[in-house]
Amino acid sequence: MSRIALGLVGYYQFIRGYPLGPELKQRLDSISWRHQVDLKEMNWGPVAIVQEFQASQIAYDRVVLIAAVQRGGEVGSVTCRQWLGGELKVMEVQNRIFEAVTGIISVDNLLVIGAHFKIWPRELIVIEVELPDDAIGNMVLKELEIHRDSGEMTAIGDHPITPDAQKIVDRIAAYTLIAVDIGVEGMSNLVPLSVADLNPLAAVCHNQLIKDCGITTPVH
Amino acid sequence: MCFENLPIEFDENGKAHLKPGVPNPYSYNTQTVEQRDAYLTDIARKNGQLNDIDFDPVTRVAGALAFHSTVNLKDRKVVDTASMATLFRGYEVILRGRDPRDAAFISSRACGVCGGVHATTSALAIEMALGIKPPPLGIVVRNLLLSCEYLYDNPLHLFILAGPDFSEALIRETNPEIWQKAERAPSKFAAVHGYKTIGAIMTDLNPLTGRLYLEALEMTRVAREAYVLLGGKYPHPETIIPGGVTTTITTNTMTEFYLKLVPFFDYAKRCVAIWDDVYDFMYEANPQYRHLGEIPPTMVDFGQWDHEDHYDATYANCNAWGEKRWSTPGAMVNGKLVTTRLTDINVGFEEFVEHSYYEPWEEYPFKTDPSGNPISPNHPWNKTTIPRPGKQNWKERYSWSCTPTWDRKTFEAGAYARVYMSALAQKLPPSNYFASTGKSLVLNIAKDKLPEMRLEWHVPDVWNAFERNRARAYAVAFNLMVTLENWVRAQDLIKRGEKRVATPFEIPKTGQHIGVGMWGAGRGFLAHWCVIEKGVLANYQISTPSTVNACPRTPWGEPGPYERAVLNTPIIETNFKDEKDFKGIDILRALRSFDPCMPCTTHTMVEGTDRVVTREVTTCACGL
Repeated sequence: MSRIALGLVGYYQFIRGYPLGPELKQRLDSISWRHQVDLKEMNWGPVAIVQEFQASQIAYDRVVLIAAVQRGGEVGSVTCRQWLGGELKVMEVQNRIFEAVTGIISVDNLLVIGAHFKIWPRELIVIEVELPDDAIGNMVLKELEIHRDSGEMTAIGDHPITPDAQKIVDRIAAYTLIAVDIGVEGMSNLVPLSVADLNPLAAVCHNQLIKDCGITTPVH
Repeated sequence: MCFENLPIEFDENGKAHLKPGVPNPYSYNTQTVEQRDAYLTDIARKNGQLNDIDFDPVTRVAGALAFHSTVNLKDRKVVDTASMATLFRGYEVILRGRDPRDAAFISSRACGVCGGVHATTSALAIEMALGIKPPPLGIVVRNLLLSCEYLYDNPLHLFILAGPDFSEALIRETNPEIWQKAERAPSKFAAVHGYKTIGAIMTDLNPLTGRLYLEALEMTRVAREAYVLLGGKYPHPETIIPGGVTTTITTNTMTEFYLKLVPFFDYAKRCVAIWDDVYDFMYEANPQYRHLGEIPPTMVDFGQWDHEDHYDATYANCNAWGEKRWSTPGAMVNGKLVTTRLTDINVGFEEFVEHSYYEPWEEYPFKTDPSGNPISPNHPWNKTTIPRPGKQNWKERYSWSCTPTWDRKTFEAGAYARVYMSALAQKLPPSNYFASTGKSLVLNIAKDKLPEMRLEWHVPDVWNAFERNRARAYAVAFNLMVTLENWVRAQDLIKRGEKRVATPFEIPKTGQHIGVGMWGAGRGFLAHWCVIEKGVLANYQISTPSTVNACPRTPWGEPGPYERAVLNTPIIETNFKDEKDFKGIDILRALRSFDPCMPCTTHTMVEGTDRVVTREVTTCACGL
């Protein structure tokens, strides 16, 4: 029996405005795994996750991460990737650490920082669901819109899962089952994922050293 | 008499009132676009070769701060600046109309680094509004939680966020002549930190590989683990509520907590020794550094860490319990402490939106605070947050930050403010671990591997970027000893049989109730104001340290602290030929000395609508 870490990156049980996450968590909780599986709610910044792995001192045979990303694919599509790592300059890693220590949750930063601190086993599978650009806004805050004129408002939560979202949960759960129980050998649809494929740091929150200074035109 | 600009005076009982005969007591002059334009034209005329340099983003903490500066490279001067918060936070809008019990949980998300302080500040505001006094153990545990956040936050800034600016890698790149001196310069405190030269310290400040860098990462983990022992979870604890905390505290918990504190005894000593060495060396290497980020020390802080024998959550008694806090509240103008009363700080506080993407508001529901002291139409209890996204224009509106002022002055906030105020005020409650002398703050740091040590932070003769960072290093030691003081108090309470950590309460379904949580974040000044009507939040206002520091100009044209600090910053960088390879390290050091932080969960307005949406800035699965 192998020891597997299954991480829901950014999952947070109390955000129920969009029920896909809790539904998925419930589904994964109910699975009888073939191996010893530690299901982890990775609702933490990457440095905290790295430190948790270091502190646990568990030598996992395989890690499977589930995360929402934007890589330009079809919204709602689920892609299984195998992390292959790669090389980054020191400052490129450092810029991701700058973000990470602030508590920003990012699977790309987690992959890079985890690799730098050598927490990943040889086999790391990432199951990604493509979400729209303003996913969080639409999913979480849709219900929080306050109509200033009417005073009407709605509260978070208790929205039943839609059939489309249910299908996404089904797909993620199916892929996860194979990824956890069999691993890379059992997955014919794995897409390679290396540092070259990662999204650049978000323009609104990336951190910078002196190289990022922009020089513009003189004052007239 | 602490107010110079607001027309407020005091009677013999210390109660404030408006000066008689002032027709429009809160009116102010507004600098016109034409006046600002004329100013900029004049700068351009007097300075032949100018470059606009944008730093976007500046902050290493959760982004969303842009900084615009105009630099005369030939004369090595900064001639114009504009600080800009690039994202709308929106929490004030989100919280409107919600159950007051939600406020702590939602406002906590204002920051991915220090959510606990927002939760606590929110709890304090609700406590005051609804008259909920926590039990003594609840107050002390809340203090311990706050300390853990500071023990996480301040080393993080010193070594992970600002530290690289003083590392070998950067000094070599920007000022090779200083690196040459550093390699040979002996350190003064080698016996404490173990480094024989300044160069050796700088090498270990290198990002990713430096020993000091990696050690700080480890220490942030220890602080978080200590937090979790009492708070259950970090950074967004669900255990902080109005009326106390919801955690179970036992002697075992306290013992485990103490074990987490022990490594900080030596770490605090080393923090101070390292940064004393680095900044003293930098001054010697180039005395021009004394002007880096220099502005007169004008700052406001609410003090933190309530004393369990005094805190009663009432506004009526807030001056009494405020002055008994383990760091002293205060407003300081040009280095002079003008008040330590929380009501004065609250009454003198206003927010302006003339240079921000917000609409002005019409309502003026509260002419006075609950004690009858006059408050401005621009006071947060009277403010309505009405976002108005628009085109960036440095002469008009350019920031999502509003402009907070105290007595019509922009002011600084920071970890250093609690050190500074506490040192000047001489009002700290008696403690074996720290004392205020009026000119300094004395800290007795307990023995671990290093012997017991007496540290003393002295009021500096100049207030600049390095002194901000230096005081922040002493703040680590101050936090630690306040933690120890409160740990001892918690133990005493438990021995006396105290178990209660929270006071139950009900949300009244009728009436109007107002409160303010006056607290602090790792970065200083933090306040939440609430108005509760018919059981829901009718208004909620948040003022954060980065809003205070990163604010745009006042309506009358006074720049905010970042803007002023950078205006005074000389360009000391040497390793450049022209604007193409100019790095701007001095400007960035000046800005980072404020420990800038903007929220990581950010919100944007959809153009042309009233709709607030969260804009995810990372690839996470929060929406799953």
